[in-house]
Amino acid sequence: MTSRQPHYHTALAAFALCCVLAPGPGGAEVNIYSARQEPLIKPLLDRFSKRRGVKVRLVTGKADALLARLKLEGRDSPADLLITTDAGRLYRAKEAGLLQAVESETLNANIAPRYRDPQNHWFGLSLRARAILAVAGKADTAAPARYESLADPVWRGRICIRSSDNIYNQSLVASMMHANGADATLAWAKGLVANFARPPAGGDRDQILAAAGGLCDIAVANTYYLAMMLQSGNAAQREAAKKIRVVWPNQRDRGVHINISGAGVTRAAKHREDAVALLEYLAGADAQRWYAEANNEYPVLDGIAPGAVLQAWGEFKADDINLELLGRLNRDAVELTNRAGWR
Amino acid sequence: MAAVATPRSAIGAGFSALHTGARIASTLILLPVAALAVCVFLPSGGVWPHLLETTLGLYLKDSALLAAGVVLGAAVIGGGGAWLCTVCDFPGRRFLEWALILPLAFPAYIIAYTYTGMLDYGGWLHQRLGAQALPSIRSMGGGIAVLSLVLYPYLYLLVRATLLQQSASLVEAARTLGFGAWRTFAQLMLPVARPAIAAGAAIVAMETLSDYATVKHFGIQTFSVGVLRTWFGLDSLVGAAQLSTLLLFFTAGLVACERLARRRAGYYNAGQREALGAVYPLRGARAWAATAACALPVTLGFALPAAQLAAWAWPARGAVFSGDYRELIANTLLLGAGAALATAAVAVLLAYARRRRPRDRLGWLHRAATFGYAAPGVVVAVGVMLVCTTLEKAAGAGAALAGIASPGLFLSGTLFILYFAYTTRFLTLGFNSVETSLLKVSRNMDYAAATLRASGGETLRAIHLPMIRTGLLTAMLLVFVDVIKELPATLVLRPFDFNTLAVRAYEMASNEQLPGIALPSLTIVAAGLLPLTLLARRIARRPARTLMRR
Ligand SMILES: [Fe+2]
Repeated sequence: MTSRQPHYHTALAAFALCCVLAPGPGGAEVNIYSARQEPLIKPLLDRFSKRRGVKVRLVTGKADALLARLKLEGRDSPADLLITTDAGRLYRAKEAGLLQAVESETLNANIAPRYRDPQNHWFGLSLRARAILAVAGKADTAAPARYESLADPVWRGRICIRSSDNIYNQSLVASMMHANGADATLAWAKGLVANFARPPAGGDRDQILAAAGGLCDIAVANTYYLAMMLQSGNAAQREAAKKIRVVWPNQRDRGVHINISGAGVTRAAKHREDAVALLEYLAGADAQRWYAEANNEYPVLDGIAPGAVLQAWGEFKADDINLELLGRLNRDAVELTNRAGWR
Repeated sequence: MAAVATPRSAIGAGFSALHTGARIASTLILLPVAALAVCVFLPSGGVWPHLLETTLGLYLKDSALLAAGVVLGAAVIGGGGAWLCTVCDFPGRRFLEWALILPLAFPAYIIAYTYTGMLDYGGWLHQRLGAQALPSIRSMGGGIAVLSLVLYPYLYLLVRATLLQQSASLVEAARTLGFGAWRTFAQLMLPVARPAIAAGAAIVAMETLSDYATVKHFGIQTFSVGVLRTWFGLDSLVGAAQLSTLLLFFTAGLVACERLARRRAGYYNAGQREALGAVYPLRGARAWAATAACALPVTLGFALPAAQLAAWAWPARGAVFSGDYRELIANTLLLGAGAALATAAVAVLLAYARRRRPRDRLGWLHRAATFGYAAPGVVVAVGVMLVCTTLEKAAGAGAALAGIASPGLFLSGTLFILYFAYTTRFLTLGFNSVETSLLKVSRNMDYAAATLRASGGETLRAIHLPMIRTGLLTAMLLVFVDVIKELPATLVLRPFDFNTLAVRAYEMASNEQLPGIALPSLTIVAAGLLPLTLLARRIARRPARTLMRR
């Protein structure tokens, strides 16, 4: 029987080995917690790493989970830089005391004040526009000229938009609360919910596909998704995207709702200098060109042209609300969508 | 038992190391969940009045509907499949009896993505058939269908094990009474299989309620969705923890019901029974109907999504051989293997301590330690982080007092925290199968060992472990398969530059690139197949003789 006994000691040793195998810290490095997915940030980090001769290490994840990790680790946290895909989470990180002020001439010169924190705790690094997308031949001639018009009864059952769980919609609602007040925005949100073609499900791309497939006439989505679909290797996605026209809303008043992807240096940073250098690199011409061309986002740096697809949709007037307000109003915006029954 | 005159106390005594170890382990594993429960006493920033006024009713309704639907679906598929494959004979049975567990290799969210990729707008099936012909997959019905398909194997495994062990004599009785297959099923088998069905239903319900990615994808508003919306949207981690605690109470209720069902049914398997072969050979149309009934879940839950993923992955197949991809696979296997070992070790420790002292006042600790299964993974992850960083800070303060260098993040900065999280989350899978197989070992063995003055450790090593080897292996395989699929805890707790297949698939999916998830997903499925095949061989190992011929 002894010979048939499993090898418990081997198992124990194997487990100990499993634990120890975690990679340890190295020399010169910048450590990043990123809510931006690896494929959308890694190429830039690699370029920076090569230029400066600094190792860049990355953990990606959901923004709030990374914030919780940063908070619990406290002073011991290995993270030097926090990257998010919206202003609201950066605001939250600053409020929780997780970021620190950075005074940098490059950053101040390259990034307009409304795209960074008033105390320079965080900086916007790329811009995304949330537009109204209309199906050609069905809605483009009479498409709503304002976000506000999406609640008009003519659009009953004709609008596709994702869940209000998503930060893009929360920020849009926050910007409307700032512009029109809470009561008017609640009434608007209720009207919008009444106009849904289906209960919200899926991401921005799914709304565009549903619109192109005939479920609805209007989709609300960030424009880089449409651009990615136009450049997709998948013929069905390309065909779907070709049926869609971009409508820039609110051109006669406050302008199109803009959000950022951005970053801030953590309070616990052990490699502050390199982290600031990375921020400056990300706000510089090389990285900004990459954001525009590879990611189809709008650069924050003036003088860098957006990619070809984005240029074809023309220039537009952007809402110049200070993005810090989106963070400030985020919770109110979510409560409002709960009240409006926007799932 | 009466033959060996050993007082009960002699067995429990002299082995306090085991009990101390078990208590430390269960306390440690309970702590992350307990940390959530403690949040009940903290101010939530006023989220409750708001939730009560707005969305709480919806969360309750959707959770109840989904859980009920999935449990029912899984019970019909898993229970029915187990009955057909164990007691009846029909064409293809020997293949189907192991193929039925294959959907377990699929992460639920991957199946969800695959089906939406086919059936939603833009999918090829949608374009072929048109919007009118297809019911929307992104709905409650779609969620129930997908989760039932992925989760029924738990029920199948448990019910099948019970039927194999316990039913020979019952079928004998049925034959004597002249019952047909249906009557035997309804009047004899169902009552016998009730504890297994209850245990399986509890697992399925817990997995369903803790799922986030799948239900989110379908737009279903369960409690888990509410928990994360409260955390991410309302910025109230405390409120989220309180909602999770509510979910845990609900689960505790489920587990209590399951225990009750088990207790009332008792255990029939005191000794070795003759294993059961196929009893009712089906003929003609009935036989083919049985084949179709068993083949359908295998097709929908495994073959079809696997084929679709393969079609998507085909153009990018070269990437499998890149160094980057090898690292993903190695990391995934490392986590799966480490977690399987850790969970099995803790499960044995707790189950064995419970056996040695069944009336232990702190026995509830061991049971409560398995509740991590029911909370959303990312919430459990925060609890685990809280425990680890608190210990680290205490160690740092201690080091400062002693005048030595702080050990830093010696827990949360290493893979330890991942294994800790996995054990917290999946202990119930390991514990259940270890405890069940320990229960089958006659107590006379323990008494005999005690008379021979064997220590508890010796008894465990020499007698129990070899006898529960199958249960232990099942525990490790189940945990392995679940860990390589696990996403939320892995995502937030991993060290720098440490990617797994599930992480890669998630990043592709959240970039909304359905075809991009195909290759890593297929690899996860492939990695799960080997352990599942082992599992299937274990459960199929029995004499396949026919007891009754007509
Ligand atoms: Fe996005």
